[in-house]
Amino acid sequence: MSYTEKEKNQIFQEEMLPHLDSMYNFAFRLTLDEDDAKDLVQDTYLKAFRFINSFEKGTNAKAWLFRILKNSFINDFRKKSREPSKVDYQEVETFYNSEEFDTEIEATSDLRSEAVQDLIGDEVATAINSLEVDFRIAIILCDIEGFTYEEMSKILDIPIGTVRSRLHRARGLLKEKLSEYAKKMGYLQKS
Amino acid sequence: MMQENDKQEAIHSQPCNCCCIETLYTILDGEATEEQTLQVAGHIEKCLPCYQQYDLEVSIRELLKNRLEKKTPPQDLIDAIRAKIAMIA
Repeated sequence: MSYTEKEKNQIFQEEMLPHLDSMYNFAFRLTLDEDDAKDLVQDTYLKAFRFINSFEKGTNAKAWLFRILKNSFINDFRKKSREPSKVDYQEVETFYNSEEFDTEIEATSDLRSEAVQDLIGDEVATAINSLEVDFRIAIILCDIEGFTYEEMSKILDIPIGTVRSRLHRARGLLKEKLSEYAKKMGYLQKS
Repeated sequence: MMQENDKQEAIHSQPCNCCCIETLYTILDGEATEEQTLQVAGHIEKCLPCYQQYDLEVSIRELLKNRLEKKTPPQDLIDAIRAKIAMIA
C-alpha cells in the first residue's frame, strides 16, 4: 500500500486509535505496571504509524496492533524491563505438554463454579498475573479480547494447533490458581 | 436390582470422558461447527460431570470478563501519541 499523508492520518484516527482502551489494558497485563504500559502503547502506536503502509485499510486493525504490541513487548521491552526473561519457552511448552503436568491439573477438578463466582477481582488478577507470560497472553487474547484461533495464530506467529494447546495449558494453570484462592477463602474444602 | 434411574445416576456420577475438555473449549471459543455444538449441548443436558465441567468453564470466563479491573488509558498517553504523530506526519 502507498497512502497519502491524509489517508495515513485518517486510517490512524479511524482504525487505530479506537483500540487504545484494549491496547492499554493488554499492555498493562503484560508489564504489570502503569508507566511501562503507557510506554509500550505509545511505542506500539508510533510503530503502527511508521509502518502504516503495510496495513491494508479496512482489514483487522485490532489484530494488527496487538501483534505489534506483543512483538514490541517480547523483543524490545522485556529486555530492558526489570523482569528479564530467563525462561526457555520451548522448554516450558514441552513441560506443560507432559504427562506430569496433566496429573497436577486433575487435582483441581473439584473446583466448583459457585466457588469461582465468589472470588473477587483482586484474586482473579493475581491468578492471571502469576501465569507465565505466553499463557497469560493466550488467555487475554481469547477469553478477554475474544480473538479467534486464526487471529491468535497471526498475532502470536504460531500454528493454530499450538494456539489450542497453549490455551489448554493456560486454562489448566488458571484453574489451578483460582482453585488455590477458592480454598484459601474457604469456599472449597481443603483436599 | 438397580432401578433404571439409579443405574443412570451411577453411570453419570462416574468421571466422564465422553466429551473432552478440548471439545468444550472449541465450542465456548465459538470455533465449533453447528453440528458439533448441537451434539455436545444435547449430551451436556444429560451428563452431570460434563455439565459441571461446562458450567465451571463458563463461570471462569465470566470472571475474567467481569471481575478483572479495566484500566482507562490516561489522558496524557492519548495526548502524547497525538503529539508525536503530528510531529512525524
